[in-house]
Amino acid sequence: MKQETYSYIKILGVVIFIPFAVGIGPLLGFFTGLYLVKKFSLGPYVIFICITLGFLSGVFETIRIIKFIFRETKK
Amino acid sequence: MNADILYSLLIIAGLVSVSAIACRRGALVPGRMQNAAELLFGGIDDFICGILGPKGRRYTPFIGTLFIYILCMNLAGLVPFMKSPTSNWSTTLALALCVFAYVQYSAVRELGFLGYLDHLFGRPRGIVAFSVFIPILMFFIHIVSELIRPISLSLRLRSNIWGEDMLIGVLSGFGIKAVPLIVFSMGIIIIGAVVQAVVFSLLTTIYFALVLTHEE
Repeated sequence: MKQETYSYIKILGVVIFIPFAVGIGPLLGFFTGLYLVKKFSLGPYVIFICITLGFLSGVFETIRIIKFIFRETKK
Repeated sequence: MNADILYSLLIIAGLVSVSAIACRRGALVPGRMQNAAELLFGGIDDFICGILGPKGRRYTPFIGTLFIYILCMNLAGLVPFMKSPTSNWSTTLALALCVFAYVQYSAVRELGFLGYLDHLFGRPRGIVAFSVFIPILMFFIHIVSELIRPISLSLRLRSNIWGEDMLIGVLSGFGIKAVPLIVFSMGIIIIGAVVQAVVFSLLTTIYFALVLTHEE
């Protein structure tokens, strides 16, 4: 397979991956927060913190993968 | 037994049989079967080593097996009276958890336990190392990122294949009139199945690369 085809596949992979990575982070945060609030009788602010953390993680993960792919594609 | 498990076992049996036949008599001048197998494995090896470098050859069997297995499971939905096992979240989550466990194991083996902890804390150096807040924040972000990976990897594959299976199911309900549409959809589904298998393997390779190349 040509190197160009590999590059297209890599970019396609990232494009398909982004919405899941960004969306699942806050969802995971929400459910973790909900569990913590119920388990330890904490305030609802814990859910907000967990959602923010999840969102940040999703964004960081996406940035890391995009950076990696673009560096690989430039090689 | 659950139908998805049965189909998965059938696919495993088929793949084992084909591999055994292809590798039975390894000849210097390969036969048709051996030639096809060598072409496939060579392509997968090139793809993985292109991203991970020569070190990546160690992971070719794992990622290559994942690719072929997922591809066959994706395409199983096109066989009459069968259903893609990958349209069930349990199947894809199991695969993603295997990837998750192997990536963590490789990370600890490659970096050492303390090195891996350092990686999770975001490699704090200089003045950042003395601030407690940033390394702890990075630690939590890294932990959540690691937990996101198996879920996003499995949900993406499951959702796409489930959608393809549903499309074929709905179109089949229209009867003989929908045959041209079904044939057209089958073409798209074959492309989708290959792309999804490639993307799963690609993301697995990237997860290894992020660990092996000490990516930050």
